[in-house]
Amino acid sequence: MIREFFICVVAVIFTAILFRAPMRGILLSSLLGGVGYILFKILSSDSKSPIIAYFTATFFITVFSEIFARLLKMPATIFTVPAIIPLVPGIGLYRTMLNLVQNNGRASESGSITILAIVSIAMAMVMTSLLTKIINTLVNTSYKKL
Amino acid sequence: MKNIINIIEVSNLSKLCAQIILENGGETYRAEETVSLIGQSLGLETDIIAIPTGIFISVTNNNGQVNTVIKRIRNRTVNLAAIHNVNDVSRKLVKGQLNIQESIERLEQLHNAENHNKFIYILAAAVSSGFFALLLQGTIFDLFAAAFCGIFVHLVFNLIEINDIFNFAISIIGGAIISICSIALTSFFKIGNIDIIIIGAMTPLLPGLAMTTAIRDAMRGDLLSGVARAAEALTVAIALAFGVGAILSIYYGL
Repeated sequence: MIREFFICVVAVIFTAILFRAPMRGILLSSLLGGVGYILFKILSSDSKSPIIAYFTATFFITVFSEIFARLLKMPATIFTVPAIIPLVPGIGLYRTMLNLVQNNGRASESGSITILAIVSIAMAMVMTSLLTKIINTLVNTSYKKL
Repeated sequence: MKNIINIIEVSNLSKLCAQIILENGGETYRAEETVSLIGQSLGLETDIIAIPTGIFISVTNNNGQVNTVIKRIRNRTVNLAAIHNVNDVSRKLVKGQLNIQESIERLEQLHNAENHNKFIYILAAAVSSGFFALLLQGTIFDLFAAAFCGIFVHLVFNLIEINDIFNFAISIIGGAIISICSIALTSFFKIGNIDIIIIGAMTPLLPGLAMTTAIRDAMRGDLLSGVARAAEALTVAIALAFGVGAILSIYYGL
């Protein structure tokens, strides 16, 4: 597990460099990516369904990117984009395509798992942006009342 | 009025901000918020519609004079540092630490900045491809093979001047190159796992950013941008899979 964490951190650091992320953001986003991936691994090994694992890991990453964005006064995208890359279901996409090519009738199974994974990542992002919007409006209105 | 604000300059500034944000992979709501914040801080009425393929801005001053700019966005890459820098400039402008001319100068420098060392980005692509292969329980051979595929794909991308060809064609070519490379390497050295090498090299090319921004835009009520980004993500993913699949079906068919 520790080995995987370090591999993931290195992979995310270089992905962030590929996306031309600013230097200050790279370290934090790589740590987020590593912890998020390990969270995903732990959750998906315990339960049979990977959907909750995808959701929780993405939720963790996006919430912490919003927090880091507020602390460092940088856009949250800088942390989210590189950190989410290890979770994007490349394997699912590849298996679906391979099953289609080999015509063995299992393409719909792997395809539906891939689509569900993408939808759960998306829903986690939606939840986070809803939460930040609600908190932002609450903070703003309480400022006005004071 | 203590100082007369030139609405042409303001609309030029807003156009540069929105253009840089959209061209470097920022969300459309970020472009719209930046421009309206700048307008508010200068006491002008600004209206903006930003979609991933273009921007429309109109600036109105107190005398009722209106200036409108339209800009078509053609090249879209990922450059997170540029988004951060625009954010920085607009923050300083709103706080009054920069005036309009200085901000325009800074933004123009940003916009015209060339990427001098493409070598670093090719190396970064290679290392991240390799480590993603290692993450999928690949061996050391898989790491080097995926890294080689990553280098090769980005060299070809640099050769064929990405800006002139559609995203779709590039992704097909990229997928095809990755699968050709991995088939060649595994059958030449007689070791390694084709699947792991292909997935590792494919991961940095996947449309993670487009997917992310699509959902955020759709959530904010920017339906048009959300659908456009989702279409972009879907096109790239299908094209990558098509490129890999075409080569693999030939390989398995033989």
